Amino acid sequence: MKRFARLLAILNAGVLLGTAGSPPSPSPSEQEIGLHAGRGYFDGNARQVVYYDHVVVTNAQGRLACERLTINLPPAGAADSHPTNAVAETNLDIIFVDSKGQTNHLTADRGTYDYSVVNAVTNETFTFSGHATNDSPQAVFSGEPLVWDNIRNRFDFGRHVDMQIKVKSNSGGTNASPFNILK
Amino acid sequence: MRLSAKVLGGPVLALWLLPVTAETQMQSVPAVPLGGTATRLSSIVYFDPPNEQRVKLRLSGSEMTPLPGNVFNVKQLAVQQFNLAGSREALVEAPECLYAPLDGEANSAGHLRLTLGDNKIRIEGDGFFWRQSDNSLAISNNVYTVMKTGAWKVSAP
Repeated sequence: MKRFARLLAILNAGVLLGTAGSPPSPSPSEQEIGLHAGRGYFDGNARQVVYYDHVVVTNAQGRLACERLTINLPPAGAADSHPTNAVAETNLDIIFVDSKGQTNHLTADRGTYDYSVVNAVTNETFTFSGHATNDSPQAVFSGEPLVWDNIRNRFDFGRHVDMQIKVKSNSGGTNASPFNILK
Repeated sequence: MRLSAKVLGGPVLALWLLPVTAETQMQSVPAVPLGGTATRLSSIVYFDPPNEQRVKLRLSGSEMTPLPGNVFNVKQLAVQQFNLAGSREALVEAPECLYAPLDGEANSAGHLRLTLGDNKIRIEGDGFFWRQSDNSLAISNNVYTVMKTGAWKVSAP
């Protein structure tokens, strides 16, 4: 069970840029996200921004690249500047450094971030679909879809789960099967 | 709607403001021949009743020159949009743009900066097309955005 928890910790360390490597914090500070794209379209009525062509998003923890990124902004005047929804499409490629300082590489066809506060209940999820795969120093895994519930700290691997644990050979190693991750 | 402007071309300013509201009233606008250049422009759009005392939009420009086809070359354009509480929701700045008031459109090959939400979101780019009817803005090159938001919390199991 310990290994499984460790694996999840690696996965959850930063599934989508912005969460990457962020340690738990009771009072989150403000972070700055930079975004470059070839062209963009802002719909003032829908408060939606769509970026096209070699979209690259960076913050202190990593980088996200895709071909199209749609961000739904909160209502004008909202106290919370959190985007309510973001969808990254086509050749989604995320590189992030987790809380242990290890580099992860996540790829998928599509990534969706959803954030809402309904009746004082916050919902925040990251969903990756379409050959979603994460490669970390410890493991490579994929699922359809991969869903991380950032409020309930719950991971759903969906269907077609595939995991490959990377075992390092060392002098103090054990003979335990690398596939006994649930023990 | 109330206006104040120091202009050298009254008709130019009238065209500028035409799509903003049909109730436009111009004040202190000297009559000068069409084709002049207006400087230090400023106009204000108010909310509909019962909030007609509250500013909805403030437009300003350092200079405006008429071009053929009811198009105007505006320099140092700044458009500020406010909510009912008086807080600024958006600021659009462009060093230079072409403005077609009858069509409610503006475009430029130059730079544009859009600031939203208490300076927490800033979008910049080169080359843009703005359309008033659907409140849309297309930026055609080198789009750069800076977003300030609370850090996301992640509690790994």
